[in-house]
Amino acid sequence: MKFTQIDPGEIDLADDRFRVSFSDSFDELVGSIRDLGLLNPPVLAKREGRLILVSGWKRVRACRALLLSPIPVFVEEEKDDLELFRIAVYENTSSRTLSIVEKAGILSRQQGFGAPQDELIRRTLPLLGIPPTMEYLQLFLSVAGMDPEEKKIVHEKDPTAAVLQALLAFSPAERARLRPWLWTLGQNKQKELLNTLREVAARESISPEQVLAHPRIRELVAEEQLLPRQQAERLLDHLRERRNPSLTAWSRVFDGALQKLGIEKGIVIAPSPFFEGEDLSLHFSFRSREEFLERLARLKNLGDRAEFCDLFKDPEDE
Amino acid sequence: MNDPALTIERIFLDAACLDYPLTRRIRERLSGTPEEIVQDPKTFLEEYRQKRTDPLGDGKRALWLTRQKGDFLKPCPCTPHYLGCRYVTINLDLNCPLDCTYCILQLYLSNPLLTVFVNTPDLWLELDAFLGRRQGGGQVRIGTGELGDSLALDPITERSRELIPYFRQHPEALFELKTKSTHIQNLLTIDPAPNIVIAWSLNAPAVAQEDEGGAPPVSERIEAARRVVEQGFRTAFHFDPLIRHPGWKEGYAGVIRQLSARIPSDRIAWISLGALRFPPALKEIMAQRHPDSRLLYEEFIRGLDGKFRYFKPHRLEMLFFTAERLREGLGREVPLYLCMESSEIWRRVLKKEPAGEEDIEGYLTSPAGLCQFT
Repeated sequence: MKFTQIDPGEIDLADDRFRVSFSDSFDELVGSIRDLGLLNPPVLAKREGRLILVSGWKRVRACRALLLSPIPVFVEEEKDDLELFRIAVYENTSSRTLSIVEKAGILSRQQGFGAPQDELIRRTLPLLGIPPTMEYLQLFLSVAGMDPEEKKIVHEKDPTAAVLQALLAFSPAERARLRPWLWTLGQNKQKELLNTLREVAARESISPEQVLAHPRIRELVAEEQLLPRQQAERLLDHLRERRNPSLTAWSRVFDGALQKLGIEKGIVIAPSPFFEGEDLSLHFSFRSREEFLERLARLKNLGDRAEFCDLFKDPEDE
Repeated sequence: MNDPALTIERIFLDAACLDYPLTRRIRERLSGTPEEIVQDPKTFLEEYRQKRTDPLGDGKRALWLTRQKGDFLKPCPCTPHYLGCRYVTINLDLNCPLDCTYCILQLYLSNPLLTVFVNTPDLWLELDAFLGRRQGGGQVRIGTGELGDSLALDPITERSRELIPYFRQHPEALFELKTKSTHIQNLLTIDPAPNIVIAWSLNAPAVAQEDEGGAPPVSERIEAARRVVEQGFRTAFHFDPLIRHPGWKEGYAGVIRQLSARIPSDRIAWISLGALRFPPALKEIMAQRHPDSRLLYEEFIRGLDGKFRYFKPHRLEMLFFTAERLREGLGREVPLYLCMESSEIWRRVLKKEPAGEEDIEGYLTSPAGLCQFT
């Protein structure tokens, strides 16, 4: 590798075969280079008589913006594309945290440069902080195959591998349909939304698109005063009900029985989670002995009412 | 079900285990199958898993002969907050050549290969010590078949020919071999004993066909049970997992009719019932490995143990229906028990409420029909 000085205008930035960074922003570097100069020379390679960048995209663009010339660079003339790309990868992984899309890009390009699958699994995946299995390799290669708009969102949102896996179970068109809602949710709910939608479609033997065409979902989307996040929450509630119709029915019957009792604020009666246990639970709070005794008296009255027994009824016996 | 000698494509041998008699026997049975001697098992297993898209599927065609470095015997783990039965498991093999969609081993085992622990001499020592400590206590139910099918590999391991004679000498143990296979050739050459039970997992025909990959049809399993009974063994059946699917009532009722017609109830040591349940992490593996299975799309809730279970009313309906059909077909004397269920479900399904695990153990180890809960 040769150390030299060149005018950054000589570098062919259109050839981005070694580029790892997904982001175009280099503003934060301009100030630092203006104040301190270029401390870490970019690495270049010679290809068909042109100088192309191996690493230092943001640095070169910042130098160009500052009209700095010449700048110090390393030029590598002997290594092949795969070896040069490894330099770019090591330089990036050692200096910053990469997004999922950048990691996917690295794997896909390394594969394109002829890296054997075994090397991708055993060397590159651990280097990128990804478990070294074929399953993960395939997941990340699928991300690399997403369209640019979707990649941009995934780059910004940086979802978990579990969300990605759930997302990639849908077709690109289905993913585009979900886009306005999905990314407004937290990661746990993103995963729940995707999995519940897939399961409802499977339960009802229809496509996810047909699930989303349900009149209630259309109504919900039509409510313009709702924020996308609120729409997403309602969509998720709707899907949960369709996914678990019996549990929903039981919850409604129980809530109806509570409503009939007209339980005052501050007293909470709840079934066992998912009605799995036999016990109901009671919660109330009080600030004094008088209040405690008063609450107990009210609870006693509640227990004396015939409707109280409705809380223990099996909805399927009716 | 295929002969394992025909489905195993490669044998991997732990270099430290070449001299065990079981290693030699298996190599002889599978002579001609490509072999590879492994010097560094840890790296070998890691790499085997890493390099494959479906290591679990591939591992079903590869045999790994190694040593059990931990204990062979373990208390059956059951599940928190539900009633267990104090069963003791013998972990002789890991994994199974069958590929059931719901199999918990897909999650539990980090080693995907069909693994046979060949250090049998250590097993006898451990069993002697364990049973020696139990002298004077009640009978203990003990069996293989927790982390692998008890008979699926028997044509090549011939373990049944060693285990049954061993336990015949130990009436303090009630020994169970549990299988979905029909590999009973070795059993038909062995003398039975009252404390030996050969058990089959049964399911509705549609489930067996769609969700029990590689397993023989239920009718063949029942026929194998009949032949083993004819040989003089006691048998047992496990309707576990019961799975909701279209036509499930007729499916299970039909199997119970076949069972009642072919197996005398006084030769049945016990029948267990358990509705499908699985840890959340298994769901993703199932969806990935068996995307066509519809089993995941029933209504599940998170049980008290955190596992997915059918919503309680659905579970009760299935357990009650199956238990009633069994009572009608086989009489009330055959001990039925529930696997990993609560006292409430015991009471509502079987009209019995065990005081605890000891009570269930006593119920299942007493002569059929003579025991009631304390």
